Amino acid sequence: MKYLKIYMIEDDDDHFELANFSINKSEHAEILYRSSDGEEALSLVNQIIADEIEKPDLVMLDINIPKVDGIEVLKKLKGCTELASIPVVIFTTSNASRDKARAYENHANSYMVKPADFDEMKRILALMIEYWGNCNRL
Amino acid sequence: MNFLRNITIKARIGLGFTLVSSFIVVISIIAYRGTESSSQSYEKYSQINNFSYQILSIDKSISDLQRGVQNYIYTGYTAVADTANKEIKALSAKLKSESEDTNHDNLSNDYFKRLLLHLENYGKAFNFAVEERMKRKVLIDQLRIKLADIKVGLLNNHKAYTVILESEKRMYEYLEDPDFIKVSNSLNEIDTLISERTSEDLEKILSEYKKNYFEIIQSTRGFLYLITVVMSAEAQEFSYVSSLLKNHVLNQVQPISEQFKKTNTRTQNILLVASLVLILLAILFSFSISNGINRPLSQLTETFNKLAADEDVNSVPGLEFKDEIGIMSKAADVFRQKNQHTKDIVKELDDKKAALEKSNEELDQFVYTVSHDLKSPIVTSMGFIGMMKSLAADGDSEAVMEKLPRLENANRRMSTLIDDLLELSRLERVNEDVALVNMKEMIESVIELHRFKLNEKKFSVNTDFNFPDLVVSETRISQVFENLVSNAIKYCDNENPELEIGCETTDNSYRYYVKDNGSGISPEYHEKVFALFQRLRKDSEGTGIGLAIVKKVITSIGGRIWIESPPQGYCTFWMEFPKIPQST
Repeated sequence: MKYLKIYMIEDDDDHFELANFSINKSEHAEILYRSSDGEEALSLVNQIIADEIEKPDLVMLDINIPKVDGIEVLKKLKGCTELASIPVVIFTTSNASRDKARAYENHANSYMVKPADFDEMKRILALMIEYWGNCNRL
Repeated sequence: MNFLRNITIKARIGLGFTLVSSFIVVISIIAYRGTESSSQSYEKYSQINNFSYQILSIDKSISDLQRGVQNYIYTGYTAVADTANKEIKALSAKLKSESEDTNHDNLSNDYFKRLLLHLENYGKAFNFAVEERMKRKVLIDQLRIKLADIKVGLLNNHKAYTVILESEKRMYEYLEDPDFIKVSNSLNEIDTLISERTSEDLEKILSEYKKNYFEIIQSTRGFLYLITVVMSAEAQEFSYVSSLLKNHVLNQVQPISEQFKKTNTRTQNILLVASLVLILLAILFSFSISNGINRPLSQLTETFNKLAADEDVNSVPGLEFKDEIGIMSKAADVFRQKNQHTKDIVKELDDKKAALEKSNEELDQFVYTVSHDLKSPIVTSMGFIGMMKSLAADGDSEAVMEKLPRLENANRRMSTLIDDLLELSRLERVNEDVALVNMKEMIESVIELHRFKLNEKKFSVNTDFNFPDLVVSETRISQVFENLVSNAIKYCDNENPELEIGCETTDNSYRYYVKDNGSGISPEYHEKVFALFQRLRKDSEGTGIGLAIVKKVITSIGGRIWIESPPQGYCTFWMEFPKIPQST
């Protein structure tokens, strides 16, 4: 099982800390980069494209982020050949079907709703790491 | 013609027909009276004509009579005289009856009487003439006998015999053609013979012969006098009177014929005028009917078509009429009003629907953002509790204590969020303390409220302007200014921060502004910042409801708010309030 280096785009520090805690617990992944708004994310993506920094194995993307909408970041990621193969998992509080539709329409690979229960969060993040860690294409 | 509008079309048609029919009756009466008068005139005329014919026939009888008399004079046949006498009697009887005829006028009867008188005189003269003629015949017979005697006695006296023969011849010539010269010569010659006194016998015979001869001449003269003078005069007189009578009758014809002509012409003229009036009346009548029906009807039809096509109809023609058209127009107007009413209702419904849709959309957006923003701190607090439990299980109590403020913070955030949401929802419902607000005092109190933070960040504050009073809710307007001032304090990133609150007056509004000298807001966020839960910075402590509340307050009192933020810095929030007294 591959050890995953994750790029997390999350504006909420608390949520980031919770996710980071859970991911670290799994011992099969770590958060490589974090962006806390859309603008930051786009410039980091540009850096990745330019090969200035290492490519992540997985992107966790929150949709409701300041400055630039998360869907715009998703479009940028999936619209460029170098990054299109990197799986993008939407990780958000929104359970709205229109957000899910918008995500999948723009080629998100998965859509996960942040659970209120901490154990549940640990469990689904562990499953995510296991799934994408075992995925052949990586 | 407008007075006709006040009566119904039915009544108008009735009135028109009655008028036209009455006129036809009047024309018929005039025509009847005209022909009646003509026929009366004709009857009179024909009577007179008949009368004049009778007069002519009397004239003719007189001419016949004269011819008979002439005939008698030449022939001397008694039968002829008898016939003439009979004719005279018949004519007398006729004239007598005519003169007594009461149908004739007095003058005509007088003329008839005069004719009768002349005829009687003529008859008398004729009878005398007949007597003279008979007497002469006897005398001529006597003369013939005497001649025979004389001729025998004078056979020896050749001279006397020649004189006698000559006298005999002259007598016969005289009887044929009464020329007195011839016979007077013979008389002289006989006188000469007598004076020669050849013999006593002869003298006696000759004297008798002369006497007889003279008597014949006398008798012929009397007869001729009667015929040529008396009878002729009477006949002349008769003709004269008859011509007078004819003239009299003809004079009667003249006025009748003139009257006839006059009556005819008058009748014709009256009929012509009446016919013209009738035609005019009929034209007027049909014009009135067609005008009164056709035009308004086609206008109404057009209106109905428009109404049926759901087009806008501002007014219905013919509403002022009181006839059937007016009634129809009223019906059309009811349709129009109903149409308009329906349209108004539909429009109202559409507006309401649009408002409802907008409100639904807003509600959707609200629910969406609220659920997200409310859920976020729940995820945080629940997550942290779980994490703390996990850390506690590991015995890392220090780490647990470290996480506690984060948990506390998340819960506080949730509480603030709920408070703000309640505040926002209260804005929709509560209209409170609307009054004339002293804006200067209000702004100064807001500055005072934030004095600590302003001093802490070393803001230089300028509120030294003229602030016109507004009729608003003081709570709400101070909430607006508090929000804007606290935003300025929060986001002004200048090292020497400045805050300016002021007001400009335009023709019909007051423009208040809150201005700081921070780096400002990019144009793409100028609208967005007023939406619910929009935060430009993740690290700010706000809930993203403040500016939404500000906008809601301003727009609810008819004002507007916008941002002016040039790239070189400064950020100004403009608020415009109409000058008319505001009501919330």
